[in-house]
Amino acid sequence: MFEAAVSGTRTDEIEGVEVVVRPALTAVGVLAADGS
Amino acid sequence: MPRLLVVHHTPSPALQEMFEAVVSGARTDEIDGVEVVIRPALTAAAADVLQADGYLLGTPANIGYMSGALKHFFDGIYYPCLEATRRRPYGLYVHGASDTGGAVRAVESIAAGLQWRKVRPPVCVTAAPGRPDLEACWELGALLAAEVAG
Repeated sequence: MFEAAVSGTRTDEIEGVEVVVRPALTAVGVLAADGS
Repeated sequence: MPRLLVVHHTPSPALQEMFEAVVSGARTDEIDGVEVVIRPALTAAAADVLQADGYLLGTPANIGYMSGALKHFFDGIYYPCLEATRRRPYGLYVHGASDTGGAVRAVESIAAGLQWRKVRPPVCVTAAPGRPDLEACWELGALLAAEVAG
């Protein structure tokens, strides 16, 4: 499910979005993101 | 020697006071022969749970639920400990800004799944802990130690 979700976020059909992946217990940078 | 495991998430002065009172009760001189082992929730693992004979759990109420740290603890130990820890006694203390109900329900639901045995109602505090609150925490710790001592 994780791999499928990430694959969708990185589809070639949408350009110009940086996808940042973090295991929950290591996640920082919410303020620097535009969606979660 | 019987062992009492304290698993806590302590991110505030109020919870530090409650934690210290619980541990003080657990280590009262009135009860002999119980080893009290303390683990912050993010460091506690199934081996700690399997090696203990009873459990004291402490958490804030965060947005209507137990802390993520305590939930992470339960996520890690649930199945490894499910068979071996049935009927073991546990106690709970919770501090919240306004309401602790959701956190209590969440912990008690998981503890019921594990078939842990609640030895007294949880100690719930929603303001700065006063003397009666800290005495209740002390009694919770002492009661669990007595339960583990047999």
